[in-house]
Amino acid sequence: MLSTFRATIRMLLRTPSALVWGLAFPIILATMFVFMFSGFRTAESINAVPVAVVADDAWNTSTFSQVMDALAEGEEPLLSCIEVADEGSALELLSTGEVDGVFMVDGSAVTGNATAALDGPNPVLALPRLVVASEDSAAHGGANGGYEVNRSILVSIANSYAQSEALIDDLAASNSAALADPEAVARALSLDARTERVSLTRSTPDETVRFYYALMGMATLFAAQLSMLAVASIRPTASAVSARRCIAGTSRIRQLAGALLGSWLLSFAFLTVAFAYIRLVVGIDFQGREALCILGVAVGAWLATGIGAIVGSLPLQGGVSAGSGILTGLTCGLAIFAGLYGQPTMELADAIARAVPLSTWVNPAKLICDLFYSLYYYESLAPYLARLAACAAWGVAFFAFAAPMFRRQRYAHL
Amino acid sequence: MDIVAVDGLVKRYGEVLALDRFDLHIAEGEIFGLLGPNGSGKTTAINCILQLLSYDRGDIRLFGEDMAPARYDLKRRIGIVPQQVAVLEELTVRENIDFFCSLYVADRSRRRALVDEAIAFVGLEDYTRFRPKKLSGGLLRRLNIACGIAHKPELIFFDEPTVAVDPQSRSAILEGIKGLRDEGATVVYTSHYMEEVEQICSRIMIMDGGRVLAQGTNDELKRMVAVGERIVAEAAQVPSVVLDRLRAYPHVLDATFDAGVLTIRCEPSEHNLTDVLGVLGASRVRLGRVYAEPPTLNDVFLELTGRELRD
Repeated sequence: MLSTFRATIRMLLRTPSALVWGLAFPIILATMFVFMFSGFRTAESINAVPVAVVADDAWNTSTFSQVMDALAEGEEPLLSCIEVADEGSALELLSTGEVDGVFMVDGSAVTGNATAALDGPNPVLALPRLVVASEDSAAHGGANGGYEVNRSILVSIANSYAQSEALIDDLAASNSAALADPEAVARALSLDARTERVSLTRSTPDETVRFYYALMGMATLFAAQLSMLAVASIRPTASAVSARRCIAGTSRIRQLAGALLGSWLLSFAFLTVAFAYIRLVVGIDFQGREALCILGVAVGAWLATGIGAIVGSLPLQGGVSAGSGILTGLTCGLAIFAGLYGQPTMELADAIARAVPLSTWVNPAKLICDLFYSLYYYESLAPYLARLAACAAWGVAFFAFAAPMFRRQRYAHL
Repeated sequence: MDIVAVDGLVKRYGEVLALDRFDLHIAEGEIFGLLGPNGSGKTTAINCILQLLSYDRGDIRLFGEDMAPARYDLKRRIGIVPQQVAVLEELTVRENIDFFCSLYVADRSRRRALVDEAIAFVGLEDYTRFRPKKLSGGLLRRLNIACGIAHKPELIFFDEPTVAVDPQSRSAILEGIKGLRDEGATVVYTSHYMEEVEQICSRIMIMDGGRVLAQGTNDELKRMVAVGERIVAEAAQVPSVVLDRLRAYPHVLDATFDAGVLTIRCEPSEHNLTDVLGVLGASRVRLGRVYAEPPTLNDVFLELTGRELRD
């Protein structure tokens, strides 16, 4: 068994197709992803929304101006405010596309109940007026998605402030003493005061990492080529060499065990190289759970070895080439449903996962993808362990299916 | 004790009867030749004996014990040199020999010596680091042989080992096989080259259509046929009337003229050559080279089946 194990490793390391699909391809694809997603990842970060404010007296004395100041501060400000003297200048900036909206405070819109409850130097509760460009404004790139988002942010700010103002107005009407503290009023009107950043996941989801995890899924399936080649080299009908091996003094099952062990070890090594490349060179985040990822890679290699064992045991007319073709087709097909080929396929994969959750457990590429994503996304290890167990179980099932098929085959020649 | 004892072996491929009550008995130390045209059942018989193929009926005993697919103890005493070169393309010459030897011999240190010996035996010392793709056809055949004999088997099957081999390599292979016999191995040698079988085999079996036609020593087989002598003469032209005159002679079995060669098959007689030359001289046929030769295995096959061995 040991000699078969050693010969299998030597044989696979010197088989160009095994090296290309098992080792080089994942690295090449990961490198391509780096270039593909570099723009995508930049676009994911939120840039401050440029907005013009008409800084007249009404603005300066309004509470809304304080809200705007708060939103324009900090390391990642939501807004970038440009102060102008009058409405005309602000609209000019809007029309040229330099800003995505104009805020102004109309003095006449001061709310009666609340103002009456406040003393002289207090900020004025005035409703802001927002002016934005039309949806198809040429200056803002037509139906540009970025502008749509910015406009909705500005509308959201205005609505939120209006709701707060209405709340205080009601409070003033029913219990004016509650508004005696000006700081409390300011806190109530501040958008920050009601917003707390709470992470429901282990990390802030980064859409691009899923593509790399799907790539690991695809790489795992490509690794099945190794065990397919190794098993086919012992199948009596595959070639003259395999027939010769079958009549040797070592049993076929012992040779099979050595071949599978060798191909699993090599699959594990190749996938670890791919993982290391994605982690260290591409810089994809695995949330400090690299050790668990390596365990996932090992179990993924086990799953891949099982798949290869089945295809390698099939009595195919075309021999190893036919087996390789089947595995390549299977890998490329299943990778679609893991979302590997871009945003549309990722959305398709998500839609299928929502509609048929079972599909995520039967598609090995998706299962491996989700294995890594569950480490990245969930604080709990339960989803990861469930997928790890599923991979191991699939591997056992594949071996259980392949073994009798392999044993039943006899040489037949006329 | 027979090293190989096969009785009543029947193998069918669907409707095709590949082996029809095939019997084979080979004694220790023999080089036994299985001679027959392509498709006669030689390789099928070997594959059944080695349990690579299942068979419909029959008994196979090797080294006095029943052979079965899981008799790895018996398989470890057997070597096989298949018809096709069957080596791993990805491994070097030495690695290939070591790998196939390892399927029979687990001990690495013992194996190292055996591999060295096999390499020397086939004369591949200068090519140990070469991969099979870099080797010529003759060297590949030698590697194929080394992979089959490195573990020093007691019984070796050579299945047409000289197909597509140049004459020099062929001669070396045949001498090597005789060397293995001298070292104590029993050899089963299949071929459709009758000259090779005549050259090295102590006993010969002639097969056709899955059946045994005849078996015995070279001389025993030749004594089975009527042909005692074949007279061959080179001539520019031999009229048909002369051929008829030759065929009318008492000991002449047949006379043919093809491509400038006149072939006359005769029964055993002391004056065949003199008589034939007398007829040709009287008919004024201009002759080139003339010689007489004893019958060949092809004559035996021709008489048994009515067709040439290589048809």
